[in-house]
Amino acid sequence: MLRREKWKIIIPFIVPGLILFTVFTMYPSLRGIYVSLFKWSGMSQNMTYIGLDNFAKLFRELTDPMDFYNLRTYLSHNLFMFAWSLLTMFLGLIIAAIINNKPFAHNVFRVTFFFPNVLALPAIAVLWSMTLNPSFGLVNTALNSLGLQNLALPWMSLQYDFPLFKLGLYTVGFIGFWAGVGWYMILFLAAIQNVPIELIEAAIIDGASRARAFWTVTVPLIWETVRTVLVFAVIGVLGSFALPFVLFERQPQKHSDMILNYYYWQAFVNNNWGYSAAIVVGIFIVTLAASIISYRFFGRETVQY
Amino acid sequence: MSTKRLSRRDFLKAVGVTAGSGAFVAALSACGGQQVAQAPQPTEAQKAEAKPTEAPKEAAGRAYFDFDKMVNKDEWGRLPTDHKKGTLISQADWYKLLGDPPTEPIVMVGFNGGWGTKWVDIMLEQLKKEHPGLEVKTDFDPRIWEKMKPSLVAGEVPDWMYATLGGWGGQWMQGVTDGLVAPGDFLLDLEAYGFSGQRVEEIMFPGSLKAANGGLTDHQWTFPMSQYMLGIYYNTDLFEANNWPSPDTITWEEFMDLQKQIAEKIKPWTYAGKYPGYMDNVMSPLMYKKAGQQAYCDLDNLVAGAFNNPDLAWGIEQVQTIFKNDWIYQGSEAMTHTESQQIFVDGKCAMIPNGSWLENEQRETTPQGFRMSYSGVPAPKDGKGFKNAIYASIGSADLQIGNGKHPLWGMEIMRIFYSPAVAKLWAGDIGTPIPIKDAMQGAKASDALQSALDRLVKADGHYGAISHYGQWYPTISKPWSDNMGDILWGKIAPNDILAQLERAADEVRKDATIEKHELTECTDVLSQ
Repeated sequence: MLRREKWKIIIPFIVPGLILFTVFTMYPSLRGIYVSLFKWSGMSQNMTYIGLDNFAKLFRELTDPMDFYNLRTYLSHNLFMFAWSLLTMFLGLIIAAIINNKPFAHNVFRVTFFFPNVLALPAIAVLWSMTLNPSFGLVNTALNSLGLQNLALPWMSLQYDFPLFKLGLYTVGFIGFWAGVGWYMILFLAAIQNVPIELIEAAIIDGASRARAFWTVTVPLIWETVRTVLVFAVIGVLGSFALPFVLFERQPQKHSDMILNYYYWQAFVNNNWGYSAAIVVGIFIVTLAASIISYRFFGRETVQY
Repeated sequence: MSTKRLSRRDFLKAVGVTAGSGAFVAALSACGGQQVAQAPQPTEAQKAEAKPTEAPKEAAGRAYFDFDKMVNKDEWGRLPTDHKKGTLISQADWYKLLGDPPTEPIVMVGFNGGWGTKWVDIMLEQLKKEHPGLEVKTDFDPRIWEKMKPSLVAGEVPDWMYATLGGWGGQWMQGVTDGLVAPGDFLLDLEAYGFSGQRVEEIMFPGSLKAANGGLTDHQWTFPMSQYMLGIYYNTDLFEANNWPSPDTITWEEFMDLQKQIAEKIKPWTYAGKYPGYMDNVMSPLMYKKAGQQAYCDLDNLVAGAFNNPDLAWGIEQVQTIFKNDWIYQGSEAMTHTESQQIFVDGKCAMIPNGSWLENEQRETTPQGFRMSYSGVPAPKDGKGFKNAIYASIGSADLQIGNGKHPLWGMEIMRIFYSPAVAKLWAGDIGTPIPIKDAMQGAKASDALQSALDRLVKADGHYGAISHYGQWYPTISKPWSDNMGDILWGKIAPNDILAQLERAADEVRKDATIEKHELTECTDVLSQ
């Protein structure tokens, strides 16, 4: 009886969210899987069922020895962004640890680091593209005025060679770092603040340094958060689109496009919505696999305290 | 859809670059004042090519379209079945066919970009003056093609569309295939608004309807909106002070020597590195002038091996030499089009690959006294293409009549677009002529525009580097556009990129699910 009464209270809270989730997330997702089985221009209701042809095409393009369709090139850009994400996570963790110790003006730092998260990604892209503009941007103007002309590089160039990738892609990674580090910092800070101080103090009394206590006590205790953040990073990286899209003027760019940019081209330029849906289903499968892997292989026994 | 020809590439903003004729000069030179283009005469090429429009071959009414595809069969059925092609339908008779305004609003949608929407206000004024009680619902948006997709899929097609089908309207052909577009053949015989006694077809700039129609010949599916020329803009004062000739008065080989001279004083070029396709305004005409028209027709017709053409490779290699020689203003590769244009008007380099909108686009930020001139791309000594051919659009494929609730009213909106009042606004305020014969409506031509008009006279109706495969088969042009930066900077060899295009063409050839098109005539001269 008590349980039934409890549900009477819970259900009204759940149902609106469930309806929104079903309509705006579940249905489009399932519809995407359905569309991936058709040839469809996306302009009318004329759809032709073609079974798994779109997936066969995706597999063919992925495994083309010449990477003619640049799919592996695009995925390598996603991977590069993942490397940036790991760096962002790491520094987010370090910053969180520092701020948790409440240094001077820590609240100012916390707000400052988090601030980019209140800006939309396209706005961030526009802001940075002006800041890094080769002719009037703040960065190069400052470098030139300091006599450091050699360092005034064309930051947004997709022709300027850097190790493995072009300079422009490093810029994308840096901007992603700038925009994301505050988010990771907040997540880690919340987790660190939940770690009982007694455990840290006990470790220090036992002779551990602060750094040692952090890596051997705090980090294992927040491992759930680390793992969740890792999954977020994988999802975020495979969903990378807006930043390069806006930074590079919405043009197809071989040296900065990621897998979702290819999806966009197939859907909106090549009118091949069925195939673009297959690409997204492929991304979903990879994301799911990455999530499972991260939970299975990075999973540790949850530490209770 | 049937087959035929049209434009090679839809330039950077997915606007079809199409060919034209000296009649473009006629339109522009109709302006008054001192800086007026030469009085236009039909060019020899035009005279040779001039012939009556072929499509549509059958009578109007039901024969104008597959009747079953029309959404509003009642309204479409009002078209007279006994109408003879080429016979004027007076405005009064047209209004009888139109009948009273519908009780619900008619719908016009379009792109809201650099051209603004002032011209839409003028259209609305005229529509309401002619049809009291008519209600018009408008939606003009910078991303209208994305905004409209759900409505189109739901079968709610606007009555009149501007750049709505696909990005910047670039996929209008798919819209035709999907039955979203109503044919506008009947419109061609209606009395043009503000041009008493003349049919719409008669007031149109010669070649513009054909150019806009993307090579389709069964019906007039799409209508042109604006006209522009593509090529090289150079700093006039700088060239005059140094006695450097205009690029297109010398051969390409001499032009390469000239660039060497220029480089001793100033960087010869800037370009929009973020839109490297701007440099294609030099590369494609050069490839055409070297390889000739037949080579371009072969590309469109998917002739096996057409891309493996050494003349095309030569054109690419020449442009690569410009980059290899460091004749590019530092940092250009990271600039947008407006940033590189600013470098040019600030006098920091000698030339820029661009289009005839350049002067207007930079008007607000051009230092007082700066003069620019247009030049076509110089022809190589032993080129097979027409030496003075120009790379231009005489009719961008932007406007369609929707196969929606009120296709006849969509036709009426289109008729109003080609009115003197709208033309005057475009010529004066926007600085771009719409494709009707008297497009300038008394507006003066600037120095830069005048220099472009001079080239149009010299072009004698030849429009080079026009091809369609990019619009017909986007997968072929993707390697070209994706690799453009690498191509320019010599990071991919000419033969390698052409091999990629050939492979993409081969895949299209073999793919039976892709609808094929074919040019039935191969010419660089367009006539109505």
